[in-house]
Amino acid sequence: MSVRVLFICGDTREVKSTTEQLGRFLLQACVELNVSTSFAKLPNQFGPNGHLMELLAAIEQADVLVLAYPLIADSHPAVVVRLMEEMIKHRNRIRGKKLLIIASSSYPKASRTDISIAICHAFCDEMDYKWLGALAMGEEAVINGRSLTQHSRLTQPIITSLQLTAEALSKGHSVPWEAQKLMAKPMIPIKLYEHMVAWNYKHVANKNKVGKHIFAQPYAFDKNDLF
Amino acid sequence: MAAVILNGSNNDDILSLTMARCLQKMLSAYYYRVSSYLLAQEPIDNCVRCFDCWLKYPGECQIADKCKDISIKIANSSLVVAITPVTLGGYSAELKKIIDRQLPTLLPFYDKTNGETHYMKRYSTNPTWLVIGIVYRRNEVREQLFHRLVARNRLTIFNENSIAKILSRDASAYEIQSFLKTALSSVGVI
Repeated sequence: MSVRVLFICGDTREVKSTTEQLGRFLLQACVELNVSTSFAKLPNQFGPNGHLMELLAAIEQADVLVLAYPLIADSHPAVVVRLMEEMIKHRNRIRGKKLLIIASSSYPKASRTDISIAICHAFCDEMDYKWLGALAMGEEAVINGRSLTQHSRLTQPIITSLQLTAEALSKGHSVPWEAQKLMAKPMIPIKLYEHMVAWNYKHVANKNKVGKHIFAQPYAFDKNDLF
Repeated sequence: MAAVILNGSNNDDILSLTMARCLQKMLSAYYYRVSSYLLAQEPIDNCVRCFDCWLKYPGECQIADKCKDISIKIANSSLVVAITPVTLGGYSAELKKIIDRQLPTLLPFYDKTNGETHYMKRYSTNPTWLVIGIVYRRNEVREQLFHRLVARNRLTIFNENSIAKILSRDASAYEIQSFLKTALSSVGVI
């Protein structure tokens, strides 16, 4: 029986989600290797029963869980924490899975995901799952939710990394070191990335006619009126 | 002086509710004006990463819920006490929601401290965060992770005097009282 992979997209962004693009590419590569795949996007809020029960049913059906998320405030988004809390509560129903993590960060270095990945490792131990490894990516803004093949010269290391990962998943193996290394490789020089991001934010703010107010402090009030 | 208490535990968690009440009394005794929130009871959405708080409405989140009020109070206070169960070495989902939603208090430009890149802060004075983690059973690895996470957040969201303290769930009333005194003294309240 072929391996069943479930990609869980832990990005609440509705458009331009790099996490989603990584997932779509990985799943396509898996399909080409005759791996059965499914995709689930975490909802902004878990309803009392609906979304959570659907998701747990999908997890129950899968052999390999690929949990992917963007880094927010140095760790995974709240919605992913919530998923972990719920999965721990229902652990008896969803035993014996393998877990792969894909973490992307808008910071230049992929290593900034280290704490969040360590937390995911702790989650894997708590659930008694098999750890397949983690792919960490920096410079998320280079992709900015576009298809990986759109700028394939820049994204080639990521494409190769995901292809190697799909191959490993099809055999039920851990993610090879080579795939992890390629994913972590900066797509453009770090200095250039930092300038590009700053320039882009200013450019978009100007386009939105708020360039002059980019340093605004709207939350600064007279403290005596507030408390 | 103003302080905000953020309780990121469940509605029915007696220990954290007791701690929040205790903290409110202690801080009031030191002339702090305190706003306290049990986050599980507040209607708060997740950050949707639209980045409008950087690119369309600088410094302002457009999600119309309680988080905006809380963020304004945080930005105008000198101390934030956050209470959370240590969830696998991180924060609870309820507390993480608030921390994720602090994005408007940052600027979309990079800065470097000790060779580590982070976003610049929008406000020159950020409150000190005292993050209290509650553990069910001692686990050194997860506790260290929790300390590392708070230390990392010092650069990104909190100010440089912020600290993490960990309390065991089975602490006695006396131990809780003395823990809170020590914790408040380590952030300069007492």
